[in-house]
This record gives sequence, structure tokens and C-alpha cells, in this order.
Amino acid sequence: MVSIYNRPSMLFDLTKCIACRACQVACKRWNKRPAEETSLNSDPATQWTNPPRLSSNTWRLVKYKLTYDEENDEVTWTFIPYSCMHCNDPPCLPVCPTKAIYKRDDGIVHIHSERCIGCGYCIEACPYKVRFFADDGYFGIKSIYKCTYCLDRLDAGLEKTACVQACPTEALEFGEYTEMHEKARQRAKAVGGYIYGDEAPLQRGSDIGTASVYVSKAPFEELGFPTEEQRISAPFVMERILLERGGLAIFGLGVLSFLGFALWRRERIGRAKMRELSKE
Amino acid sequence: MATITTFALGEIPEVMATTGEYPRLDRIENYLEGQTVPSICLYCAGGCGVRVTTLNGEIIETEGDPDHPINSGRLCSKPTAYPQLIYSERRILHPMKRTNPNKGENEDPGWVQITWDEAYSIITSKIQEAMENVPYKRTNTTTGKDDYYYVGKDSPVSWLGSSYLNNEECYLGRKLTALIGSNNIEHQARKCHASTVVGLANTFGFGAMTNHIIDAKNSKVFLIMSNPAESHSMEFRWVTEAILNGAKVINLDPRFNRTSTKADIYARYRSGSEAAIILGLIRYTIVNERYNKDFLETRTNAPYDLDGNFLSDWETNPDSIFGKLKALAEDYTPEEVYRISGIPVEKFDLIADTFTSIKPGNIYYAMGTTQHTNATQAIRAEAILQLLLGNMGVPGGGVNALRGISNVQGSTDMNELMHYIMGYRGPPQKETEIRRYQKWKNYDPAARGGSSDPAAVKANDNDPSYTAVEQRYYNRHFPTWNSLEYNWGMYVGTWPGVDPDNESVVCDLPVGNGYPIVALFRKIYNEDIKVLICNGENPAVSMPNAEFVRDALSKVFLVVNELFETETAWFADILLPGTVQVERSGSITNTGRWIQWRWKAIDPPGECKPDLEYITELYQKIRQDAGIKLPSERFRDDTGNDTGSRPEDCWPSPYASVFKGDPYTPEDVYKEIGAKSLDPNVRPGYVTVQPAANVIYRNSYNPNPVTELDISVDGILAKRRDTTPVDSQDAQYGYFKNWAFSWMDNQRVLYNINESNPGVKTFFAWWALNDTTWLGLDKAAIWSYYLFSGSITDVKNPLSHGIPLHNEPLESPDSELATEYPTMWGSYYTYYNVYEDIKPVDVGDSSEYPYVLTTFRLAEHMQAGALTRNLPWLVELFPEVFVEMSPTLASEIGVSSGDYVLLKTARNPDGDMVKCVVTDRIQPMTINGKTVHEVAMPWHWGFRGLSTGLSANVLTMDAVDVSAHIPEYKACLCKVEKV
Ligand code: SF4
Ligand code: SF4
Ligand code: SF4
Ligand code: SF4
Repeated sequence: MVSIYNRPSMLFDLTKCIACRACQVACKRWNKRPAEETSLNSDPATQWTNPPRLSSNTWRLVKYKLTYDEENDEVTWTFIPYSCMHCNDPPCLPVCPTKAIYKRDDGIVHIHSERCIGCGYCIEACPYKVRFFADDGYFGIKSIYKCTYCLDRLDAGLEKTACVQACPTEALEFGEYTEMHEKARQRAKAVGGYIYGDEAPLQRGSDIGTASVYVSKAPFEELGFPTEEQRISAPFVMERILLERGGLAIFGLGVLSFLGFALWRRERIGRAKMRELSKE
Repeated sequence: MATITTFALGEIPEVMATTGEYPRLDRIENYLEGQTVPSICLYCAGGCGVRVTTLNGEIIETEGDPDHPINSGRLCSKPTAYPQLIYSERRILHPMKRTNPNKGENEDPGWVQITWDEAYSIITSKIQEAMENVPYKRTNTTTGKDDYYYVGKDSPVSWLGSSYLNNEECYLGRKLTALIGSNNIEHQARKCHASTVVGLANTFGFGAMTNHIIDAKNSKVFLIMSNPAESHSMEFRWVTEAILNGAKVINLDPRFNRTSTKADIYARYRSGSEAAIILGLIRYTIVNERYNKDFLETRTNAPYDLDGNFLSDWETNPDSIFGKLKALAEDYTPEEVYRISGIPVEKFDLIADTFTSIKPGNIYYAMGTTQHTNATQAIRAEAILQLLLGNMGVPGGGVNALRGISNVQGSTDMNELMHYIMGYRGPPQKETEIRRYQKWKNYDPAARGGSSDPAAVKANDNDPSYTAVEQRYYNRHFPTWNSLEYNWGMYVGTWPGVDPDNESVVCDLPVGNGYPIVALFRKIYNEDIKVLICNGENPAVSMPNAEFVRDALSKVFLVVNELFETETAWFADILLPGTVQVERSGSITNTGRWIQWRWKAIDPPGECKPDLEYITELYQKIRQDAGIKLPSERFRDDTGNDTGSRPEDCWPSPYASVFKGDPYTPEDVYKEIGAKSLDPNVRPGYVTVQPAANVIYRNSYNPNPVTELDISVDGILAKRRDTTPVDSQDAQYGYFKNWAFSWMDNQRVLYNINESNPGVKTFFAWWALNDTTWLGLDKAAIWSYYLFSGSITDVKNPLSHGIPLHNEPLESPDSELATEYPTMWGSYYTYYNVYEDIKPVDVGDSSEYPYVLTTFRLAEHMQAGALTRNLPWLVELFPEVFVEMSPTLASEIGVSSGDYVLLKTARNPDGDMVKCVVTDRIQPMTINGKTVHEVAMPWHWGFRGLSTGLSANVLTMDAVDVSAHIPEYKACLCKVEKV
């Protein structure tokens, strides 16, 4: 088991975010991701969010969420920057048939790109929908992209990820896991709000805590964050158990069968997923 | 016709591409190996530090400077995308010449590449042609002698910009135009805070943001009438810190914006009612006795009568200045404020109670207040409100004008403006002034370079024949002219100076003001101005009534110095490749008056030329090839009398004449601007005691540095990068006095008498009358020309007495209010009769154009857009232009969010199509008992660039503030139709 201590963590304080999107651009700059072609987002509720969703080229996105209380003439406009949560017990990990996805000792969830067969299971498994394919993998196979927690920067001894460094209002903070989580708890208390991603009792054997932790004045269900149930990666519980308990032999068989299986599945799931997300 | 937005994403350069395994390790390796160079952000005037990492002459990374006290490594979205600006494949890399003789939005210029020499020779021949018949001498009917000077407004050669250039470059731009006899020079500052300068300078003394960026952390309550979260995101870092320390935020804006999300109290109001709201707060403060008595008695003229007598019963005495204010503010009850602005009474009371009961309180404002026909009045009202509350000259207080472009404070200080020459000192207005100046020089010839002939008429500095106003005026302006004679190598005076009243006037400074920006374009349209040299400015998008401006641009010989092919460049005859800020060195001044240095990080690509080099070469060619001479040189040619003018010796700076080696170091020009004391080696044989060319920047260069820190930067104090506090106050309030330099005299909070180098001005006057009446204790009211006009008698016009009132915008949505509070615009022509021959403004009526149209900015885009609409990462965030409206209005018109609508104004009666965003953030307002709808459009777009779209300014109005000539962009009337 990976220790939850001494590992990197990010605090997202929604009460301080001004939606300047410096973090969104900083992620592209550091990771050299190209811009996406977008069009005006005029949707009454999500207006200005752009691109409309994360993608293989957009690992950090600031979501705009607008509600209006007509009676009191009160606008609530919430800004939700998000990217991979680097889950304590990542639902994306065990479903990967080739074990391309791995969790480092410091808790960062990353991928061995050369092992990825483009099956897309992890895309489906991730409750936060932060994983996406791009067509530029090895041997022409699709490859998965998402936030790396700037592990190249951290490994080189830099203090902060690119997105956190950019944030003008310190809505984003970067630090040691326990410290960030403690700070989040205090902050939530101070603003009379809520915290998301903090440690919680194991749910069906799964630690639903995340390295990234959020503070908000409004409850997180209202902001559309995945519920505890969704964070247990329910659709894949069986496969996961199989993989974990069956050991190498079953894994080997699994790889073979999955290889064939994946060839048609990855296309299907990927497309279906993209369709669904673009409808959001 | 509408321009539909289209764009293609730029090719990703090889270094940007990513495949397979990621992250790419060469990224971090190169970053760690590279060298870092400090720079300053080129976008807003926050003055945030940018750290540039270079390796083998290439930029590896740009990021927030972690050592910089303002931003500590952070940056907002625009500069975060910096590499896409520097390495944009859309940049202009070579000088180009237009081949298509026709100009227009649909006329491709047909660029062909030329050399710099070819470009210069075309430009100089055009200038020569234009200036052929411009008179430089005229026979004086009284003296019978020839007077030699150019009339500043009659020059056919005009110059624009820019606030994106460094101080040294702006300074040289002003020097160049003056030395070719033109005061037809303007730039962005006219359009952003001209009204601030008039409003604040007439009340406090300086027309600038009183506190500074970091100082927000000291505030306990904010009245924010701007949108810093979007327009100055790093300012919001400090507002956030104040919020964490318990500060309350009041935000007033016609539309709920990103700043509003962090406000404790938000109220929407109708654009153009700012003065009424502030007057309502003034009334509340007085009626509820929330004013600071001690402050008013010790630091303002509130307790005095108009003859200068202190009245002990000033609070109740109607003859006191306080009493006069009270009487005039009386009408602005919460009910009346509601009727005018739409802010409900209950909410207004809450706002007023909050702002007047917590100290210190800070007012932030920007274009929403400055861009109106009565803007100067609204800003004066803010200034007076802060005096009443005693919020002036204290950390956390102030009237804080948030300035928009990285060096707009500096370019304003360098006076690339038609009515100033340098450091807010004006050009000579008439011959008699020059004759008086000669007497002033003669009074102390050794120090001022006057005639030492015993027969020379000497005027005392306190000559009784001068009125107090004149005396003050001369004390203010003459030393700067004297300094410019020295620093620019020219002559101002009479010759030989022995008999100033009867000799020939010889003046190398152009005499009289030029044309302010809107009038300037009318003069261009009329073909009176024949050449326009436009640097880093995009009037085809940024000017109100932009279609008219585009027509004007089609008629003039236009030189554009730019990074990209902008909408203005599209009309150019010669297009010159400019440089990005990391490709040259120099100082810039942020909104909080910090003068900071940015260092060159890489060489410019292609044939792009740093502005210092380009302006210098252009000046030399104008002199050599176009044969443009100073009036004093003409005088010498005609009469054989040598006044000693030697402009070549002083170009670009006497600190580094062309004969001393590299003529292009910005340090030399910096020294000329801000020298502390006379260096006899700089211009041997010349006498003066006024060596700092820009009096506001005095002491920013210390030729005899003493401290280790100052020595380490060779006396160029803008280069200081030390965050050690100088004293306990510095540590407590975050002054950072060892970081860079700040005008005046490194004071960080203007008028703060408790700061370690206390404010040069301790007393404020808010009643300004004409020159026959008492002017206030410190005579600040010398400026009253802008605020008082004896010829105006209508008491509803603030110019009739000098105290702010509410006046409706020229296009008011309510005809009753328009009658009760008549627009000030009518007095513009009475006031400035010189503009009579210009085209009148097209004005719409509320019966035909029922809705209020305002414009705004986005965090992700910059002003006229060239610096962001060409960057794919920023285009991705806001790819298209739009107009925002309330769901109520949308359903009345029958449109849904995302539909195209047709927007029409009196300037654009056929209308233009634009997509709408229907949003709850805008709601109808009740104005004078009737429902009024307001719609809002970001103004960053135009027809060139990666992302194109309708320019909001083809709809806005070119009426201007009566005192400051700033256009009324922010409140005009429109019609919105379904298409
Ligand atoms: S957020 Fe999604 S991709 Fe990231 S670790 Fe959790 S499950 Fe995996
Ligand atoms: S941590 Fe790094 S990779 Fe992740 S969102 Fe931030 S900048 Fe992007
Ligand atoms: S940089 Fe900070 S303030 Fe800006 S959008 Fe990201 S989290 Fe919000
Ligand atoms: S706040 Fe202004 S100066 Fe600072 S990073 Fe943003 S644009 Fe640049």
C-alpha cells in the first residue's frame, strides 16, 4: 500500500477562484499541449466554459456554473478548476489490462504510454472523467493523456506544479498531503463550507480520498461532483477483484483475452464516451 | 455586414509537439539548464514580474517571477500564454509596402517586402512633402520682427503611441514629434484615463492612482467600480488577501462579472449614472455625519469660505466650502439615486452604511467610470468622497484608478499627449509666454541660460504684474522648458534675449496644443493631417465610431509599427516589424507608479527592430533626408544668428550622443529622463539647474549612488530588485521601497504624511474657481481651467461652479432624466471653439434606440486584441465575440442564447450581426420608474487575426468628456433585433 503521507497534494479553494484560467493555460504551456478549436459557449448554465470538456490536449479545465435565484435577485457563479484528482485508490488503475497505469510511491497516478493498448477501460472507470485518448500513441495506437501532477517538475525538485504556480489568488495551493488536507478542513470551517476528497472510511474496501482536495461554500453534490458511490468505481468491481486476487496467471490470460477484446472495445467505448461528454 | 468569426489553429511547432511517452523530459532538462532574465508583463498595468528562461538564444520558458513582490511567481492567463506571442508564426518579420492603392476592410494591401532603408526613404519623402508649406515664421505686427515657431496643431504629421512601449521609447516619441514641430500626438491614455488626470489632479495634485497594487491588502472595505478579477487579475491577489483579513467588498457593475462573485454586496446600475451614485454617497456621508472632521480641518479647504477665511462653524455654515458641497449634494437622496441608477434604496443604504463606516476604504475604478461625457465629474466626486471620509494619504485607502496597459502610466508621464510636453508640463501656449520665459531665464542667466547682458530686462519670480495664477503657471512650466532646452539641444526664448518684449521669438517647442484623439481623426478625415505614424496601437478597433476612423485611415499616409497585421495595419502604406518586450530593455511604470526595469532576453527575429533604434533612425532620416529643421535653425539660416541649438548632439540623449558609441542604450535615455542632479560632463558648456527632463521622474536616476544597492544598479533605480523593507512601515504595509523606484521621490502611497519620505503635498482643495477668486490654500485650483468656465452659467452644468453633479450621457434612455440632468456635451464646443469645423457626432434617440449598450473586457483578451486574438491558447478560451443580454430582453426579442442578433446604433443604423449570450448575470433595471434594458459587448475583436469578429466600437459614440476629451464608450443607445 502506498502511504498517504509525504506525498504531493493540491488544494482547490473555490471560494478564492476568479476563473482567470491562468491554470488552464499554464498547464498547456508547461506540457506543450496545443490549443483546441472551440466555439462560443453560450449555454445559460455553463457559459464561458471552454473547451467544453477536458481532452487529451486539455488536462486542466475551469468549469463555470451559473445559477440564479430570481426571488432574491441573486446570481451564483461558481468556478470549478479541475484535473486528475490522483485518487488514493484510483478506480482507473486496476481496470487497466496491461498494467500501463501505475501509482507512484508518492501517489501520483501515471501511465507507461508504451504499454497502453488503447482499450479505454480507464476512461470509463474514472469517476472524474479526466482521461482522454489522443491518436499519437506508440505504433499508431491511441494513447491516454491526463494531468501528470507535473511529475517532471516535482522530480526535478521544483516546488509547485505549473498550474498552481500561476494561480493569482492562491485558489490553488500545492504541498504535502496531510498539510493540504488539514488546511482544507480549516478553510472549510472558516467559510462555513464543505470539503471534498478528504479521507473517509473505506467504502467496500476502497479509499475514496484523493490527493487533490476541494473547498467550497456550496455542497459538492450541487456542483456535480461524483458521489461516494460513483467513486468506488462500481462498474468494474468484478474485474478488479479478478485482477487483484487472481494473481499473475489470471492476469496473463486476462491480457491475451483483453487484447482481442480491447481492439473492438476501445473504439466503441471511446466513441460512445466522447459522444456522451460532448453532449454535456 | 457582419463579420463571422472563423479561425484556424496555428501549426504546432516541432518543439511543441508531443507524442507517446509524456511528459517529455527535455522540457525540464532545458528549463533547468537555461538562464533566467527578469522581465515585466506586457499586458495590464499590474506590473507583475515575468521570469524568462533562455537556452542558446531561445526562450525555453516564461513564467511568473517568483522573486517579484507583486506576483510572487503567479501570472494571469494572458502572459501565461507568452511563448505563443513571442514565437507566433503570424508576426511581421520584415518591413512591407502596400501595393494596392485602394484601402478598405475588403482590400488586400498586397504587401511586398522592402528594406528598412526603402521604408525610411518613403516615409521621409512623405513627411517632407506634407511639411513643405507649413509656416515656421510669421511677422509680428507689434514688434515688426519675424517670430520663428511651429503651431503645434497645424502640423500635418501626427504620431500615435504607445503604452506598450518602454518609457525611454515613449520619451523619444514625444521628443521626435516636438522636434519636428507637431503636437498632434496622442495614444491609448487619452482613451483610458484622461478624465482621471483632470479629475484627480484638480483635487489632489497628481492625476494618478494614489496607492499601489500591493496596498489593497491594507484595505478594510472596497468600493469596486471596475472588474479587477478580469482586467487586473493580480490586483485581485491582494484583494483576496484583504478579504481573508476580513475586508468587505462592494462591487457595482451593470453586469454581474467575475469580480462580483467575490463581493459581499453586489449592485447593478445603469451605465452613465456613476456620478449620481457617488454624490448619493457624499450626501449620505454628510447627512449621517460619517465624515472625518479632523482630516477635513487639517488637510482640506472644506472649512474655509471662498475668500480663504477659516469658518469655525463650517459644518453648519452655508458659506463654507463644505456647506456648498452639502447644498449641492442634497438632491441625491437614496430615492433619487435609485431613480437615476436603478440601485434599490435598501441596497443603496446598505452600500453607503458599509462603505462609510469601515476604515480604511479603497475605491477602485476603471473604464466604466472614465469613459463618459461627464467622467471627470464622477471621478472628482470619488476624490471628494474619499476626502470626506479621510481615506486619503493612508495605506489601504485612496482613489485607485486601475490603468489598463503595462506602461500606460509611463506613456502618460512621458506625455505622448497633445496638450503636454513632458511631466505634465504644457507647451508654450502663446508668444507672450515665451517672452516671459525669456525674462525668467534672464533673472538667473547662469543657471537658466538667459542673457547676461546688463540691459536684459529681468523679471522677478514674484513680478507683481503677474497674477497669482500666472505666477504659479510659470513656476510650473518654465523649469521644464529649460530642462528640455538642455536635454533636447534646442532653443526657447527671444533672440538675443536682451529685450524679450521686442525681439524675435524663437521657439523650437511647438506652440499651442494639438488635437485630442477624436478631433485628430476628424482632421485626418478632412485631410488636414496627411501623415500618421502609429506605433503599437490599433485605432481601427479601439476608437469609438470605428467605421469613421477606418475611413479616415484610408485617407492618410499611414505608417504602422506592429507585431501583427492588425486591423489598423490593414490600412497601412508602410508596415514596420516591431519587437516583443522580451526582445529589448527599458523601464516601464505600472498603475501604482512603480518604475521597473525589464531586461532583454533574446534577439528579435527577422528584421524586427527595437523601437529605440527605429525612432532614432527615423529621426535622423527626417533630419537628413527630409531636411526638417528646427525653427531656431531656420532663424540661423535666415539671420546668421546661432542660438546654440544642436539637436544631433542630444539625440537620442545627451548622455550618449551618437558620437559616443552605441546610440541605442535605453540606460542613457533613462538617465536623461530622471537625472537627479546636473552632470557637467554630459553637455559641457551648457548651464541649467533643471536637468531631469521629466520632473515627475526626478531622482529615478542617481548619478552619485551611495548605498551598495544603488551602486549595484549604476544609479538606475528602476533596476533595483531588493525586497528588504527599509523600515518598519515598509514591512508592515508592503511598500517595497528598495524594489525599483516610484514617483514621486519613491513615495508609495501618495500624500501619505506618515511615510518615511513624506508626501510632497499634504493639503487638498476641492473647490476650484477662476483666477480672480481665492484658489484654495495650496493653489491646487490653478488647474481650474478644466473644471470651471466663466462663460457657462447653467447651474446644472458643473463647469459653472466646479463641484460635481450628475449629468446624463449624451444618449440617455430616459427623456425626463435627460431634461432634468442635461448632458454636459453641449458645453464642449463652447469650451473648445477650435473644433468647430469637425464632423458632428451622430446621436440616437431613446424612442428609436431604447437599450443601453456598454462595453467590457475579458481576462483572456487584451484591449484591441492583437496581443491575444493571435494566440491559440487564448483564442481557445474566448474564440468569438458576443453580446450579453438578460433573459427578459431575449424573450422580448424572441432570441435564445447563441443566436445571432442585429445590433444597431446611430453610428451604425444598418446594424451588424453578433451572437448573443443570454445570461442571468444581466437583468432589466428600473430607471425613473420605467424598465430599462442594458446589453454589453466585449470590445476586443476586429476583422484581422486568428479569431475575428465584430468590433464593438463600430457601434459606440465619439462624443467625449468635456474636460478631458475621453470618448463616451461606456453608455450609448442601441436597438437589438432578431435576425
Ligand atoms: S481522477 Fe480519474 S484518472 Fe485520476 S487517478 Fe482518479 S480515477 Fe484515475
Ligand atoms: S498539475 Fe501539471 S499536469 Fe496537472 S493540471 Fe496542473 S499543470 Fe497540468
Ligand atoms: S488560476 Fe486560480 S483563480 Fe485562475 S482559474 Fe485557475 S484556480 Fe481559478
Ligand atoms: S495582472 Fe496584469 S500585469 Fe499581472 S500578469 Fe495579469 S496582465 Fe500581467
